Amino acid sequence: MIELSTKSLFFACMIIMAPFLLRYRSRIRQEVFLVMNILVITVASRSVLQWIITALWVVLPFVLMHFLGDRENLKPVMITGMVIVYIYLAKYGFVFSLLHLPELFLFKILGLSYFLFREIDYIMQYSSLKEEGYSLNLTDYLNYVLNFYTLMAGPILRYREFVDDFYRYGDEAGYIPITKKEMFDHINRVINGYVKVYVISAILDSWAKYWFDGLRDHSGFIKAAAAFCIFAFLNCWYIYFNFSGYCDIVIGAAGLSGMKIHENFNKPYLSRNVVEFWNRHHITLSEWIRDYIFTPFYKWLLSVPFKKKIILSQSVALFVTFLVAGIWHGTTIDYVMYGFFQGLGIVVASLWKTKRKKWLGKEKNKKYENNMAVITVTRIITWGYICLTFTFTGYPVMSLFINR
Amino acid sequence: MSTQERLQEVFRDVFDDEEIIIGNETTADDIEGWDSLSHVALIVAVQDEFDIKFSIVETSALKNVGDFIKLIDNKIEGK
Repeated sequence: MIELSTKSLFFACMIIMAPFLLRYRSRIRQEVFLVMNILVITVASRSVLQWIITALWVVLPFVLMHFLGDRENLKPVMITGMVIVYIYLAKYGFVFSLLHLPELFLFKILGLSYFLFREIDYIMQYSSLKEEGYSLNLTDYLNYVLNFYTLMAGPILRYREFVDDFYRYGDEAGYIPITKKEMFDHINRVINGYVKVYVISAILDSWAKYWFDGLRDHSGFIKAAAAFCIFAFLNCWYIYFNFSGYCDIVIGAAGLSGMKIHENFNKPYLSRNVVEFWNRHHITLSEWIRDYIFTPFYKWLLSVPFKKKIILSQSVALFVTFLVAGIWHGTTIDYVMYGFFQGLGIVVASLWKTKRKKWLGKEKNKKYENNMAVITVTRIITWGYICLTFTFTGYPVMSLFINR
Repeated sequence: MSTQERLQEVFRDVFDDEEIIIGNETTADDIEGWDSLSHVALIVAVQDEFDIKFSIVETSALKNVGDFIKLIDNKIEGK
């Protein structure tokens, strides 16, 4: 997520500087933040063309909504168009080779998919935000979409949440209050985050790579499987420390500037099933896909093809949602497998819960769920499943099976 | 039947539990199985029962069953 480079040094400078500029409650706090956001995006762009494409990708949805936002039937057209452009810009290899598309840009835009999430939220919420009297101006919109704290990999805020928080203190002059304890807590969290990302996760990453590269050298299935498990174990802890460390930096640093950012992790590896896991790992992504993929799809399934068949609709909607989310994570076949296994895990977990409740009855089911042995075993099984399925993110696991 | 009674029937149907009794103060914590997944099924069932439509914002802002009943009544009046 974060690599040691001039860009990450620049990012570190920004998070040190920002609190001095953004804690001051002035009328121009939003403009100051905007300048910083544009500066970060400019530094992150490798060429003028990339900057222009990024600017169009960010500004166009605002302009379209501003002039045509009251037409409800425009939303599906716009979102479909944006997803198509996204697939092109994100460089999905199999789409390119299938359709023989020319590659016009060689660069990848930083934070592209996270821009998409926020833009879709803005589009979907536009009418109700307007109704509720939110000011839908370009400065707030740009600050929301470009927010440099959450630029790279979230957490994914919602427009309403961002604006409510940003203007929480009104516009009277003076400093935004912070207690000494809060300040030290935030600083502590940022330092912890840096240690997690640059020390712990960096070490785990190199070990995981070492074991993955050695996989083909093992003769015999058992040896190879054992080596794969060690690799999976190291990789899943690498993902946790890297991503949650990154979130610690972001949430702590934004806190120093008087901004509150949604938590993204809640001890995910203690989950007792895959459904619970996705409520505790990358929480803001789970909530986003719940609201904008799962819910509309589920509602549609319930009302049109599978009329009132709750369990069937729920299972299909869950599976498709996680398959799509998996494919969103990356552009290779491995991410399709990743989505497939997450979807499968979620459907099995939710069906098992429903069935179990029927078999055991309410009282017995409660006893079962609170049984310490059951809790321990289900935690280990869930964590093991996540470990194995997480190997598809970041490693060409499928190539181990295909080109043997 | 009052809105609350009709809503109670929907709850019993969706959560598959004939013993559910709802009141204004009932929240998701009080009802076994009322999580973000079944919430969607509940919303769709309520929409069908009362022949109304909700937006995402309306249904995610609900704090308890009392809020829900108020929202349903407002919708029915506004039809």
